[in-house]
Amino acid sequence: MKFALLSNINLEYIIRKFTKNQNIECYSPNGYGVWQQIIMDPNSVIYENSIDSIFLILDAQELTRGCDSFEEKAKELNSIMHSIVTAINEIGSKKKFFISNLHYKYSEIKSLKHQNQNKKLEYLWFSELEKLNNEHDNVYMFHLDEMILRLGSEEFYSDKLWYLGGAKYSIKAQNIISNTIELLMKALNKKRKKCLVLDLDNTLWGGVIGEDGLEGIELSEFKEGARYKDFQKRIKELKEMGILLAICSKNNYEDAMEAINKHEHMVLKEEDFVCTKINWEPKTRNIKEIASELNIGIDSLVFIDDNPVERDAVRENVPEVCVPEFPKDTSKLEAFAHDIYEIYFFTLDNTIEDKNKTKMYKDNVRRNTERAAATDLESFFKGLKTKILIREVLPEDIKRATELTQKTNQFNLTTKRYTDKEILNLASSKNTKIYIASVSDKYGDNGKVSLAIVNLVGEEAVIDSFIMSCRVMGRYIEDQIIDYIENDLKEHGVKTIKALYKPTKKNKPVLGFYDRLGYKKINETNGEKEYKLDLSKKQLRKLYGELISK
Amino acid sequence: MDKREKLAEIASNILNIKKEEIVFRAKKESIESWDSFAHLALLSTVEEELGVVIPFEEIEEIDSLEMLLEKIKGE
Repeated sequence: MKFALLSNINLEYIIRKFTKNQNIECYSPNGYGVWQQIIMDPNSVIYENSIDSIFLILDAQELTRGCDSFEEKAKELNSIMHSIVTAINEIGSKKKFFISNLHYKYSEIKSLKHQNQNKKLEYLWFSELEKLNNEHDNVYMFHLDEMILRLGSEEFYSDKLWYLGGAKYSIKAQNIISNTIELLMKALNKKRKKCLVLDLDNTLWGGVIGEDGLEGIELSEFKEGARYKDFQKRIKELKEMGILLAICSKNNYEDAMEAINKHEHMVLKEEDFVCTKINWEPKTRNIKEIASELNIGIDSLVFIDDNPVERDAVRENVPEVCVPEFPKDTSKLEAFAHDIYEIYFFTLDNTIEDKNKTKMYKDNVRRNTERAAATDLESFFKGLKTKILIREVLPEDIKRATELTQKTNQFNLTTKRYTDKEILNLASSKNTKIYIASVSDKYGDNGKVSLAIVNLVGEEAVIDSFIMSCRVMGRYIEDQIIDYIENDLKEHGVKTIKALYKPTKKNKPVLGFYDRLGYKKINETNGEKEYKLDLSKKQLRKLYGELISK
Repeated sequence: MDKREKLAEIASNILNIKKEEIVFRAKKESIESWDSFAHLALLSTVEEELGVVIPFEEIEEIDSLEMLLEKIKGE
């Protein structure tokens, strides 16, 4: 990973800090007065492919140095913003831009009656940035002002460093900035965790429901009980971002449910939880069940419990689960929620699929229950009234397509991870077809759940990736998708299809996938299997759903 | 942690020298990584982390960790 750091002040401390970082490389031009030239110059390093992201950290005071009146300053900021917009359009959507908002350290010395105009300038810049952020998927605001507010401007700025070295921000401030950059860069490439497993007593409320009763537990809008309510509010926000919530609590089921459903200050409701394990069984066992019921990897769980014995038991028995320490000072619970988000669930953006995730997983649990009850599997599949919508990717699918390659582990034949940039490149290539499919049924919409990347080499097609979200596995949907792709390729003159299975720790479920579909194994080395299918000899597939193609 | 040890830790980090290899008496000029920017970063970090103030006028004359330690000892 490599990013460019551009600024109108000296950020040498940050640049030097990144020279020690093994994973993230920082490019920065010599001299800090040249950032505007650099972004406008198509021959500069930042236009090169190796740069993933561009960070523009701008100091307000210096941007408008030399301008006297408010009007002059506003004009200057407008013209600078204009050059940034031009550069963004020039460089294109393949790189991420993080552009700082502005903060003026001092206002001019004025009587109280005369208002500080700098706030207006900050807002002017903010609204332009917000517009850019909304118009471009790849442009983000870098919240410099929030960092300044959080630390306090007295500590954020360093007069000494400024006068001696042209560095405006204190060492502490530059550490905050570089940590934020690191977090963002990692988020571009990192796998998020999927599910937050929560204890109840002394975690979502204060006290023990079984002993203190509905009236006795601490949970309120103000004062002591607000520690827990505020914590719940933040967790609810995590859920809105697509993080699944589950309960794992040692309690009588009825007691706990009464608190969840009847307490007026419960922010999290029963329907917010995708899975509830409220019983007296060991938590380790419950946690394993949660993962298997949701059909997600056990390493995608994060477990929150105030009880150190429970935490240690989970760490000991299921080391794949992340178990953060619980804050000793419970007035820090809200801050703890922020930390959990940054460490385990941080994301630059969320997709529509994220917002509906809890419902989708719950629908799935219901499907499985019905399936267990159904005597005849064939009629069960037909009864689901599955609809599969398949098409070649459009620009609006790119984000989800990338996400599928990044997050899917089980139904993933080759487990190749792609970035937005790479998917975009492939999608625009003539020799590659990327199919994306969404699936719905009588219980609800699963969203876009399957992706296939196919390379064309003359009359042969090679399946580079075939991925399906595990929430629709086991319903022969993959057969129908591959059937469509085979037919579509055939129509485009393809005679044979080559496919590959690459074993990973997680993709055992699809070990025999191509064998089952009648592909012929032509090679096997170290568990990697290569297959070939002659399209004229294709067998009939099991088709239970209704397929719609565009 | 006493000031001496804290100072060694900060210097180790900024000058990229192992803590146990730091020589307090060594002159600034004899340490390659101690360039003018490292000088500023070192003194600023000491100010920020130890809560001391090194007056602007005295920053230039500091030429060893020993001298820096002397300056902040009394604070």
